[in-house]
Amino acid sequence: MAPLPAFDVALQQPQVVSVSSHLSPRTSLVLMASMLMASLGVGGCVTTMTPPERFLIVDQEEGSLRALTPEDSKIIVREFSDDSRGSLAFWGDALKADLLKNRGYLLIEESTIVDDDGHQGLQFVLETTLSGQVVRELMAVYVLEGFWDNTIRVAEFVADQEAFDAEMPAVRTAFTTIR
Amino acid sequence: MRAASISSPFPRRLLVLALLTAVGAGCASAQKSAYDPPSIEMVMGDAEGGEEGGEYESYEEDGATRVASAESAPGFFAFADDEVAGSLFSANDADVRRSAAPRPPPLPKPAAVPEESTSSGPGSGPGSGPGSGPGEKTEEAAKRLVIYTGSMSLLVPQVDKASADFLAHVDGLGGYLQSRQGAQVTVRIPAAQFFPTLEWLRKHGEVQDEAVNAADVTKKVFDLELRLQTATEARKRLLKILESATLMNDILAIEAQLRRLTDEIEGMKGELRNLGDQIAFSTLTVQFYANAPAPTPYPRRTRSRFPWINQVGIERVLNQF
Repeated sequence: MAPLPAFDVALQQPQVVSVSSHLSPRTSLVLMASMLMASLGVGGCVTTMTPPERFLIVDQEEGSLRALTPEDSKIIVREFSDDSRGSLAFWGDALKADLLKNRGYLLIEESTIVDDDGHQGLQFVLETTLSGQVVRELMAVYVLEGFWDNTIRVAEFVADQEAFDAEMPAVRTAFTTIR
Repeated sequence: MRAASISSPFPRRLLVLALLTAVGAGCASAQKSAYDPPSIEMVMGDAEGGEEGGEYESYEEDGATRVASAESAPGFFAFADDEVAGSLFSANDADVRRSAAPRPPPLPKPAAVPEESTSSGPGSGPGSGPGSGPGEKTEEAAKRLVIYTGSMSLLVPQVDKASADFLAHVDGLGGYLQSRQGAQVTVRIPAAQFFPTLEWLRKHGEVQDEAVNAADVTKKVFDLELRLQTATEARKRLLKILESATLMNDILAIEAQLRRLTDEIEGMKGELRNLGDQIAFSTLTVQFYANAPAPTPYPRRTRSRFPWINQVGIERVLNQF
């Protein structure tokens, strides 16, 4: 993996580091190491997921993943930067407020979820009608704390009701494997 | 209308033959001596002349005197306009008119003409006479020829599923899909299953609107059958006349009438078939609506205050692919 620009700048421009000259050398070293680790840990990784059996991943990049079934049920995973560092509970309530009151969705189920890395998340099953057809969504929201900012990871599974009911157990399991 | 002109001398033998053919055994009163009137207008149903001309052919059936008029049998009565086979006949007008007039066929027993059920004469009240028991009334109602059409608006959880279930139900009853437009389905179902199907729909959704129309076509069918029978008889007689015609003009005139009659008969048969189909299969239109809440995008504000939230949700996911 290519070194990150921020790291290069830190090495080539010691005056930047000198901002922390008031800190002890040991503290500065720890700080730099933390920055390096944080940068490597948070950025530059392609989002991965073990897809459910009938899903095919059609697009996969950093902070984004898309998968489809033959019947066009859809999974999409996206990450959004949150420099305001809202809590999981806050974003959960904000989501519900918008989806239920603003867009008219029905909340069918709400629960918590934990992914393989131990991140806590919230999970919603929502329903609405599009063109006379009932469409459901499983939405999982995680808040991943970062060094500079937080990352909100949202995994969504959307399908018509019949396909949704058939695929949802496998999709729930798959959502825990997102990295 | 009764003007007669001599077109040509005509052999007496043929005249007799034609008359006998046209009139039939019961019309032997045709006078063979009158040779002159070669052109005969077969006026039937004309109001003038009254009894002496015999223009009205009336007969009694079920206590009611019915009059065969031009309206009830246009195919036959229009015969008069074309001077068909005029030169074939030499009898005097009145006799020829009478003899050539086809006796209207006996009326078929009306199954249950609505007027009968509403009659209020003595002894016609419910249970006041023989054969007026409830069983007979039911039988009369069953014989009534009614075209049922209906429509219903139904609120269902899932439009597609409800529509598919309904079509499967109709198929099982021997009905069929006539048209489908979005969530609106029009089907034809056997008439006996019309009301059970409405009941079935009521159990499978919340009825928002319902309309049923019953058109009693008993009289229409009755009249049509009568006209058809009369026209058929007239055609038969024309065919007999044609057999004995010798003059080319007569033959052509008769054939023209035959063609017209045949067209009318076929038209009436077609109309009867159509009516029969409408009676046998009722038409039902069902409009399905989903009772899931209608999408109400952004009723309070157009966007969330948090940009990332505006990028998630069902519509957004569907647009992302």
